[in-house]
Amino acid sequence: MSSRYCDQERRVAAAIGSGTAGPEILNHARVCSVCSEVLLVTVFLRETGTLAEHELSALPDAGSIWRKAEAQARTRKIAKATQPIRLVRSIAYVVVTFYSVWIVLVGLVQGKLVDFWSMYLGFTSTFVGRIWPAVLHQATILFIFGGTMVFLALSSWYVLREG
Amino acid sequence: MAASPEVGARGGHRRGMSEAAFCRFYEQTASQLFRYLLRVSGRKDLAEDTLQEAYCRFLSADLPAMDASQSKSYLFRIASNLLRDRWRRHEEDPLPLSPPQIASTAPQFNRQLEMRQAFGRLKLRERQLLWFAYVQGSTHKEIAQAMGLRAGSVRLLLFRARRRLAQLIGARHPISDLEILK
Repeated sequence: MSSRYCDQERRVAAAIGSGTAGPEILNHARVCSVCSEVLLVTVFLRETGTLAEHELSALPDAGSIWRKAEAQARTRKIAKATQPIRLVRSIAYVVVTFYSVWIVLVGLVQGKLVDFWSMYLGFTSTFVGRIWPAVLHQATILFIFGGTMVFLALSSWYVLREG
Repeated sequence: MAASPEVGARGGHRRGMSEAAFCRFYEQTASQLFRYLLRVSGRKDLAEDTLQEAYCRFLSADLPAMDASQSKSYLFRIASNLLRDRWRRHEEDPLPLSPPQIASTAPQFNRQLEMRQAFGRLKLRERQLLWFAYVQGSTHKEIAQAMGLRAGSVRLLLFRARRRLAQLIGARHPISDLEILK
């Protein structure tokens, strides 16, 4: 027996807890420093652990918890079912933002402002025309169309798979 | 606690538990769980919230079939984790102890109040450990499972927590004063 642990610890705690502590256990607890601590702590914890009537009345009804759990499960199912929609929407936001910026830039390049900025930055619209060749527009359109088809196919597959 | 055959049976509702089976399980465990949460956290509102959330998570968990005692252990584990998470969130804003609501008669009032104050001075983990060990009567292995600790470290942690509480209450209430020893 060390000053930290005693083989009788659990026996003492169980006996106090069940109210069956006999003289043998109590005599041991008197002389064993570990078990006297166990005895003290167990007695106090059990005394303080009793709930008052009004504390027990705070317990919610089982039915309300069941309904709350069902509502939470429903919310989770909806969130899962709409996940592809949210994913595609996020991608759409990114694509729209990217192309909005692109359109604005092209508009600026082709508009009057470009002359000022061209002069300022030291390049001409001929140079801009070279970096945005007409063939790129066709490729871009095809890329967007292809990408849309792929995402539609993927999201349809995901939704059908969940179903 | 008597084993309920419907607890954990597959089919039907979540975790295979019907509403009637859940109500029975709730009746068997709710007051014990609430007592644990209330005394360990010292806050009634936190105990109520954590209790509801623990049962909701228990119902939504997809687990293999369990008997009633395994279900109870699992429920206490969920509740302990929830309590720890919520406690961490409030660490910078310490949670005051609820006003004492003593179930006993007037002469015991001061003693229980002092005890709760002493218990409140311990760390949350120490309180949980002591509760599991000396009120629930859990084994070290069960405590380790419920609290996400290594089974080997429970013994030492429990010793430290017990010594600290014994020092806090022993100064005012020496063991020789205990009714049980007279």
